[in-house]
Amino acid sequence: MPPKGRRSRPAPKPDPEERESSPDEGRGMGDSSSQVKDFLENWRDQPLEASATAKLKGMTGEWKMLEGYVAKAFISITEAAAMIEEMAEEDSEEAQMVDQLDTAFRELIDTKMELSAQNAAIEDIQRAITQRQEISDAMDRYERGVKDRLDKYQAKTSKQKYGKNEEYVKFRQTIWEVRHADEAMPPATQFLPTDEGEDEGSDDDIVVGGVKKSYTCPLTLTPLQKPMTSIKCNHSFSAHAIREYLKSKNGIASCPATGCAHKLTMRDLVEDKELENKIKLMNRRKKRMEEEKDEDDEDEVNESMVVDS
Amino acid sequence: MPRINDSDDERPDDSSSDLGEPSVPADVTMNGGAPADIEFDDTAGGSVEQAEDEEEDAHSSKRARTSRDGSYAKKEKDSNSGRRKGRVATDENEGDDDEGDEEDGQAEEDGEFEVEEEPERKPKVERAVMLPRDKDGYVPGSIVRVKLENFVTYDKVEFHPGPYLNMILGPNGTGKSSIACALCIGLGWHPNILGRANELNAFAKHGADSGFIEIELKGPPGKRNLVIRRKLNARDRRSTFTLNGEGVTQKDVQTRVAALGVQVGNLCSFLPQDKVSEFAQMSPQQLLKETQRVAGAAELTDWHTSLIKFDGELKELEKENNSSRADIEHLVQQNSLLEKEVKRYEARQKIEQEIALYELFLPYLHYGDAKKDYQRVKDERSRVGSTLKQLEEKNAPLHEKKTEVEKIAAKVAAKKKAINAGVDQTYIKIKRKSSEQEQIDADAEDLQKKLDILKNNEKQRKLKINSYKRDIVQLENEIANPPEFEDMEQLNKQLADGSQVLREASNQYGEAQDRQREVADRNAEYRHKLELADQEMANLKNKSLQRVHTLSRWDKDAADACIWLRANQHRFAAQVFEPAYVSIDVPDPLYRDAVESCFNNNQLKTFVAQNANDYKLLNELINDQGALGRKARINTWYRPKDFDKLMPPPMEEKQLHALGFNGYAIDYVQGPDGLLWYLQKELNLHRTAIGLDPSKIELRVAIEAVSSRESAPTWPPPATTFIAGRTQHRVSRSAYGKQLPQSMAVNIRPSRNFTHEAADPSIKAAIEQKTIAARQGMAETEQEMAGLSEEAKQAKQRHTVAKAHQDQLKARKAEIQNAIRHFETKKVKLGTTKEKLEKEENAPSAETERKKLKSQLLHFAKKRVKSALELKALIEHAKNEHAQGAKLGLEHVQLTANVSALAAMATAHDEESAKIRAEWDALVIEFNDVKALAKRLSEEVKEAFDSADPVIKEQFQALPDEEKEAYTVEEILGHIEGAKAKLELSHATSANVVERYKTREAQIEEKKQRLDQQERRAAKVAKNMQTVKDQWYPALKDLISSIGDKFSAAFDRIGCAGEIKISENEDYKEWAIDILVKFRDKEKLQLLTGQRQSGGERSLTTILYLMSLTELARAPFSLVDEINQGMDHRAERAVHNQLVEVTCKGDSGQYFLITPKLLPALRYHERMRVLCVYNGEWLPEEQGIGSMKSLLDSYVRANPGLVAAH
Repeated sequence: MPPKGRRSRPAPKPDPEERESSPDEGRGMGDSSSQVKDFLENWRDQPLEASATAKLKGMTGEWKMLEGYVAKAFISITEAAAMIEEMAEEDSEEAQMVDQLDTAFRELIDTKMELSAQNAAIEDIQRAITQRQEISDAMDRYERGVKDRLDKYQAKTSKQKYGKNEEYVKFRQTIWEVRHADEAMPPATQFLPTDEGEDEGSDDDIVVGGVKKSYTCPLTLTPLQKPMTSIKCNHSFSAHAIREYLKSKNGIASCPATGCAHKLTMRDLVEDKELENKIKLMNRRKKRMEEEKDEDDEDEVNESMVVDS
Repeated sequence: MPRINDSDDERPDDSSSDLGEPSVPADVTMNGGAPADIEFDDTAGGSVEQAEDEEEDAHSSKRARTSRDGSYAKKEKDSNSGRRKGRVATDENEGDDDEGDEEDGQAEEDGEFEVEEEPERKPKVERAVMLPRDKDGYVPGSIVRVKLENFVTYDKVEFHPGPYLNMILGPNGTGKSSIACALCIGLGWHPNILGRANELNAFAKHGADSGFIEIELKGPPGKRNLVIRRKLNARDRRSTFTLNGEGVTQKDVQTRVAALGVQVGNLCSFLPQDKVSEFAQMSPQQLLKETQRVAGAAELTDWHTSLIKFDGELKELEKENNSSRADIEHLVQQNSLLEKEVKRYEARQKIEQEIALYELFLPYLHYGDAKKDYQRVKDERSRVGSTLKQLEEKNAPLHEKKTEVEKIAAKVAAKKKAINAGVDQTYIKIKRKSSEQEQIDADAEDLQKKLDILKNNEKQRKLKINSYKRDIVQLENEIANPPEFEDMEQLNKQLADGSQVLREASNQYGEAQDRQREVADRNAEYRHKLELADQEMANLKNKSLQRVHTLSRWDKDAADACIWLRANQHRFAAQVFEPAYVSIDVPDPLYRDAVESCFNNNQLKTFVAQNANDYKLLNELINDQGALGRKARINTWYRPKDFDKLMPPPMEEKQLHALGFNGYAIDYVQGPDGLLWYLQKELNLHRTAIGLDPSKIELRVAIEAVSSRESAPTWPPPATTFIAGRTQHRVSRSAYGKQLPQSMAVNIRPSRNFTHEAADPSIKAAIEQKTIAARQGMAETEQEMAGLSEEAKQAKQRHTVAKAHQDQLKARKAEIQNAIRHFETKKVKLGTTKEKLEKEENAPSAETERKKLKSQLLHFAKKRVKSALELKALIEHAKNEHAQGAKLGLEHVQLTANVSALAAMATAHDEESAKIRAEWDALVIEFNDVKALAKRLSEEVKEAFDSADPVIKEQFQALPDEEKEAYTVEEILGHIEGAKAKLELSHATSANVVERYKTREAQIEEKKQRLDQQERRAAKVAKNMQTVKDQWYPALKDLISSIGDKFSAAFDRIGCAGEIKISENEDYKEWAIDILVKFRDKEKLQLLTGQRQSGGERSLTTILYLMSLTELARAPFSLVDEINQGMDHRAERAVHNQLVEVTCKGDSGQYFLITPKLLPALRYHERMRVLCVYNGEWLPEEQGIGSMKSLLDSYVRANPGLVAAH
């Protein structure tokens, strides 16, 4: 760690310039040795240097990466749950796994929360340094910052914590669609336990009406093909359709979804593999159901029923 | 018949042993005498007659034998001594023996020693000593016996010379000198010593293959004699030696012989006839040399030789020395020129040395300065060092704290790093989980797809089953009702029949084709024949064309007209004939001259037409219209044919023959028939009689006959020609007067135009015949071919029909076979279809399959759940790690801040010490520099000293240190400048000059030394010379005076005066013996030269000199050949007497004197032996007949008074 003498301004001791003008200067070593002695005897943590911000930034960067993995894990759990929902017999032992996954999902939400708390605490310190505050109790500040945030989160009920959590809603939605393709899903809070002492229904205002995700392109009005989703408004379109649409509008236009006012360009649109997959599964499920229905009344040669995927 | 009488010996002289003689190598003898011609008599054999005492007969084998060629060799025992004093001789011999015995005993050892040892040590310079005489009177090395076979004139001879003087007598050409030759060659010397033939093979007797010489030499006392035999080859120069019967080399022989003191090469001891004059011609110098060699002690020659050598050396040395002295002188002179320059050079050098000395000061002084600096810096350094140390101690606690904190920070950093590593690890696991899940998804997807197509598969299966079932029913039906197949057997039979028919048709067709081919071949053959005939015809025509060419040389128009005519014959109504030159042949060459004489030139080249129109046309075309393309003129002829108007032949055939004629000219002519008219009408060839043999024709009768009233229907008859031999006679009767026949004879010329070989019309006819035959053949064969072609056509038609039928049958058969095969495959197909049906029916149902797939899918779902949960756990783990990491990171940030603060404090307080440290650092650098400088300078000093001139170094060291140090660098530099300025003033002498001077100095020194040496050597040589001369000169003087005494005495005896003296000279080479002689009282003594004296006087002098030498020379034997030639009887007698006296002394060696003549009443001595050479055709064969001894004996008996009288 190279000493950057000139820049260590916030030293508790008089800096060299001051020292130069002191009457002791140049006379024997007694004074300077007493300075050293004092300094060492009253030793404590020193204020952080401005250069520390870079390091702190590095740390928050690491968290960002982990947050990415968390997002992946959300999807992973969701997909696993959908698979079980589809394959397991209703009320079978295996079907219970969905609940297990539900718990895991919520725990993961807690983890994410924790990460953001830590991140925020570090960012606080960073900010303080940037504002040239003298921070010589960084560790305290950090621990306090994390604790405060977590305490606040823990104080919430389960329904508060997860009921409106976007990821959780998506998770439940996916499971729901396995068996209720054509039904709107009830509010997510319904899937959540009521915590002790919580007044059931006290959060009525939070309850959101049934959600039915549409898998139809608002432009073609046919099922989505190679869906692209707007990062602005989360609306999805068939890739070729939106491309044509934007091209006809000189590259920029309002979102074609009804009632959406966002201006969109191709840059706002990303390929939505997750959605594509979902649609695929949906189609399959639908088809299979139809087939099973056919099975019963199907007797002899009926080759017109050619299935296409 | 010449003969040699020999007489006998004297007692040996013991003094012989002291004075040895140098052996003379063969090459010393004088060459150059042209070999004298030796007349050999082919038919004459030769022999040496030998007369000797009775008792010597005991030596037995000395008997000449009858030679092969029928001439005789005869030994005769006779001698003067035998006649006169044989008895005394015998006694003396015995006496000799006795005395010899004693002396042998004394000298034996020495002699043996000398003989055996010396030759081995140095065979060339070795000196033979005359060995003491043996009991039998012979000195070792002397010749006891000589045997020759087929040698020059001798067939075969053997004789025994006596131990003293041997006179070999015989007329010219009998072979006296051959004996000398025999001795020389036989003892292994080269024949060139003799001055005669050089080729060994010339010595073999003419006509004989080979010959030999055998010489028995007396051996050393007590040892056996040496029998040396040299075999000569007549054909080549090779010869072989045997010694006592054993093969040896020539060299061995020479060595052995030389060991006995034999010196054939020495002229004093071996003087063949042809060398006598050479000896006489010897220069005084040579004479001295030879004399020393023969008569002197061995050292004498050696001494002389070394004197000559020394003399030469001395002169050489003197010459060298003189030139050396001159050289030195020259060099010294040269150097004196350089001396001034050298002095200048030395002065310069002194200054240069001074400079060098000063220059040596420079590093020394520099080093002194550096050393002072070094000390100063060193002191400074230690002072600053202690200050620095004090300061640094004061700040130590601060640094310690800093170090401590730094350590903690490092530990934290390490922990953080470990955590980070853990996180990374966890991330890897997370990623692995993700891919695991992807795999599960993919697997599940596969199953889903299977599930999707399950239904469809089921439908397909059902359709297949139904289809198979339908197929089976149909196939079974078909199999149950097999179709009707045509009867194969019937068909096969039909096929066999058809193939038979086809084969026949094919054969017929083939035969027809063969026939066609055969006829076609024949046709081709005819065609070929026709072509050949055409070719022949063309050749024939070509010949006639050649004739036209010949004609063109004579008359181009006629020739071209011929060619034109050949192409245009068709334009004429009848054939127009080419001129007789071309179209007429006279096949019989005998008649050509005669026939041709009937034509004139124009007639030969006349074209003949057969009717008036053609004649006109021809003239018009060629002569008028220029059909040949140019203006041309040819002779043409036409007369209406009317054979009735033709004049008949003048004679009946019978009469013709009777008159000696052979026939009429027309009979010998061959040509186109149409041309006959021309020949008869125009040329009267039918009227011209020809007789080849004029002798058969009686001219008068013939003339009468051809001009008779019967000869022609008209009178007087027309002129008629006949030919008799080579004469043409034209006979006519004058229409007037008596109407007598007149004849005119002309000689006919040899034919020129009808010389060509006649074209045999039969050949042409034959060719035409061939052509016709060929054409006919062709026509026939073509007709035949036409017939055959029809036949072949029909055969082909039949074949085609049969083949088509057969092909049809085959196709039917193939069809049926195919149908059967097709039916059989149905059965197989039924089997496989049934199998397929069974398989499909037994396949698992869709429901089962679906259940299976669903359960598998569920399994995957569970796996997927598990994986998802694990992923979640991993993320939580990572979160915890992160939390830990965050804390550590913060801690580290804090510690870093702490370290920075401490460092800042330390820096502030270190500034002071840093200043001192900088000072210290600078001092360290300076110190190192100064130290290095001092070291370098010290090295420079050392270097300067090492490389300095030792003298200067010494000078420098001699100076006291204080004085040295008192100088400053500037002072020294000033000195150097001054010295250099001085140097510049003085002219620089080139070191080269000095170098030269010194080199020369050294040269002079060296040369002087060498000269000194040389002079010493010269002195030594001179001294040696003196020493040698002191030995040589008295010895030589003794020798010459002893020879001189004898020589003078000999001259006294013959009433003349002679003396010899040494002719001294500065140059030892030029020392010589002068022989002075006086033959007449009035004269003074005169030098013997090649010119001054007469030949006889010279010979006399020579022999006397030789004899004087002989008395001293101790060769075992000496030989002189015909020395007495050219002497008058007085001199000869004197010489003879002298010779006898000298050689018959007791101590004399063996001596051969060869002479062809002998004066009467010469002095005889008992020791002499006379050998007479007899040579001739009539030597008696019988032994003893014609023996001179017996003849002498009888003579003596008849004249007893003779002996007494003598």
